[in-house]
Amino acid sequence: MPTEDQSSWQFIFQSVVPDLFQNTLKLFIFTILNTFLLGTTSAFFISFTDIPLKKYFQYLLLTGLSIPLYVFAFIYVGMFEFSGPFMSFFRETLGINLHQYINIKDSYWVSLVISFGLFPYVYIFTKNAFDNVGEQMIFASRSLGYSPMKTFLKLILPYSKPWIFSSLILVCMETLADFGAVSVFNYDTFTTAIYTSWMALFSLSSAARLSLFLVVMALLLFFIDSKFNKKGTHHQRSAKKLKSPLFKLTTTQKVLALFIVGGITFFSFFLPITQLAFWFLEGFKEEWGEHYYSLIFSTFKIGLIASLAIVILAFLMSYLKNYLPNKFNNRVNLLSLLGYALPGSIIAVAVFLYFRFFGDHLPIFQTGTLAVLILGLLIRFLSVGFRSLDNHIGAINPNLEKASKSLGHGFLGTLKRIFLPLSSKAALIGIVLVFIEVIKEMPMTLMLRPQMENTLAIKIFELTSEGEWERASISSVFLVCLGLISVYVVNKLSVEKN
Amino acid sequence: MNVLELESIFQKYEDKEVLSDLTFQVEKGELFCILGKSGCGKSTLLHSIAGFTNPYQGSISINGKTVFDKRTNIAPEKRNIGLVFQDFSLFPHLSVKENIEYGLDTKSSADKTKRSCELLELVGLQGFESKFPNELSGGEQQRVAIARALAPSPELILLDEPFSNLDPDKRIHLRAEIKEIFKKAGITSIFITHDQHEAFELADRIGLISAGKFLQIGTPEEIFNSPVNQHVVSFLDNGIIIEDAKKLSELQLMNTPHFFPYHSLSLTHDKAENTLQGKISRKVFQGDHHQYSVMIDTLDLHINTAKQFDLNQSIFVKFDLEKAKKI
Repeated sequence: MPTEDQSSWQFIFQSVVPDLFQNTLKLFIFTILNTFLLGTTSAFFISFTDIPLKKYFQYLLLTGLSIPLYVFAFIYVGMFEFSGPFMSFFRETLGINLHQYINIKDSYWVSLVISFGLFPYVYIFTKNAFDNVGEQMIFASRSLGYSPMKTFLKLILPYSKPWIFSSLILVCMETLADFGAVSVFNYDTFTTAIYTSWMALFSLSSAARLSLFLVVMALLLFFIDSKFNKKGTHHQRSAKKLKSPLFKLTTTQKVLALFIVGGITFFSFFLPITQLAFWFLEGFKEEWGEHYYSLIFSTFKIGLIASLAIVILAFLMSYLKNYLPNKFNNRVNLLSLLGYALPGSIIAVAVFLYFRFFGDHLPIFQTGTLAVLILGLLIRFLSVGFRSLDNHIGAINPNLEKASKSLGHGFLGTLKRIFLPLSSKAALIGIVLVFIEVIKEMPMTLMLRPQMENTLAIKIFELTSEGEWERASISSVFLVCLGLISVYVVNKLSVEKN
Repeated sequence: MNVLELESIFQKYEDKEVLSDLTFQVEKGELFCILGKSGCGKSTLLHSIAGFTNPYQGSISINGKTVFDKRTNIAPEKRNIGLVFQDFSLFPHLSVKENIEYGLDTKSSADKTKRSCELLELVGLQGFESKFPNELSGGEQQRVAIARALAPSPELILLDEPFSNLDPDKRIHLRAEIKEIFKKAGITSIFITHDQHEAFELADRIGLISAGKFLQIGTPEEIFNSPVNQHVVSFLDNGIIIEDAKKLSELQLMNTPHFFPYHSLSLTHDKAENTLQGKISRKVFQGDHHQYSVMIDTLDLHINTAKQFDLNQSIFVKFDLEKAKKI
């Protein structure tokens, strides 16, 4: 065994790793550029101009986030591959061979599709920063002789740099962690290589070594973000909003703005959703069957168990963090942030290795059991639940705890009678947020799930591996709908909370 | 010479008239204060002068050059007006020096440094160049905000409630300091406030504004000692107006309304010349004196004295006729 393993690693290291680096690097560079352009441009138009239909665009620009990246990927591959309907139409009807210009599996196009899925992060961070500048700073700048355009370039952009930077780091993390989308494109990165060396070459040790590269890169990103984005540079202020837009657009400019922002929403939402709906309607009758009931059941089962476990743990952690001495604080904070920085594939490998050694003593934690999968998901998504709850619990007036204790309630009594009721809504939001992340999760579920336990995401993976776009659309529509519902629910709950 | 001239400015905000028929001038080197309660249109007026909102009628000129009327509307960045905000609004990502040099974009870097050094000296913040706004106290931030606004040598500087974000004990100290800085540098300025003590202390002239209209414009002494009507007196709460013919004749005054500042009134136990009978309705201990509220029929007035009187006691209020002003 060890010699065989050794040789497959040698092979991987010499012939695959350099390509993986190159692919990952290209993907990073293109995706950073693309998401930066898409995100800041759309944030600019929404925050600072009187673009028509702003109310709708604000939300439409975000809806792309409810489509999992791998769904984006297979929709675009399906549309633009050589034999796809789009390409065929151009080739056969118009006599244009679009394939010359668009090779959807080429790194630039892979990145562009991924960017349409990820740019909303840049958009939302940048928009927050832009709105945070506020009326008075803009007035100050203009009274000092700066025109609106100069104010934007010299004040607003530099001011927003830390946010934009953070969002681009987040985009990189998501790109690095992505497994589903790149595997649809057959675009090899570390995540797909880890999967292949484990599941196809059966070399767990190669998978572990590849994971090490990925860990180093993920930690590097994490480090860059915390190093170059010192806390102080994110200025949280409650700024007065601009009463009238910084830029009043002329009619021509409005048309141009609509064309740009409309184009972005078209490619990030309308086009993929339309294609998905089309496939869904075409393929539903043939594809739908009893086995989908068990897929949906499994998806909900895993999603609910994981999100409940995470939110309970996150609640306790946040409570302890806020009401116990400081030393504990920072560690918990760091730990919770780190989880999200680590790609699912790495956690899968780590958890698997760990329980292969210790599983013998703990029967329920044998590899291939539900408990191990849940544990992996918990490590990966704890930060999502923790941040959502901690924002809320951290904001509870600390005097309430003192009041409760002075009235004779101890640690547990205070927890039960004050913090639980006050944070029930935040917990619900946390559950929804975690749930949606868990059911979309692909690589870890793929590698750690019990053998007979299939989820919607797994189904999508299986069908897209065979190029069955139409059949994969059924599960995708479920995931997208659940995603949209969750956004709605979270919005609704947050509004009520305020 | 007038630096600023406003000619019958009218302005609406969401169909509500917020400024109506405002006319005033500010002379070179003058500290002009706009005093009014919150929501009276003070900030709108400041924004109109700076060019961030537009009146629907009237004209504004700076140094004889029209910046706003029916045909003209000069952009804020070309009006050469400095602004200091209530929350100071320093650029948080820039150092003190960079904040001050922000408005000197067209100058060479040597000139920039020279100017920012001058200003740091003027506001007494040498050695703070490389600090960031979040490392400064409120008072220091305010001085940086003033230095930043002064850097491009504006014709006029507008200050929006510049002291209200500071601790009360710091305010008094800073007011004196700022007045000195402005006078030394010969700066023309308009500042708005809701605090009459601030206005009296700082201003060369005060424009008292209510519901978008000027009630009175004048020096602090004029406004305090010779208010033009009941609205001014109610706003300042600095005295009473006696209009009642019977009371006026008791005081042997002509039958026109007279204003008496509170400091011209005193309390005695016995009836004497120029007194009216009243009753103590409220008594508040204030350390070295008491503040008494006295009711004379329906007139409610406030008198400070170290003398002792009892609540509900019947007393006489003595009027110092020399300080009375006809209205």
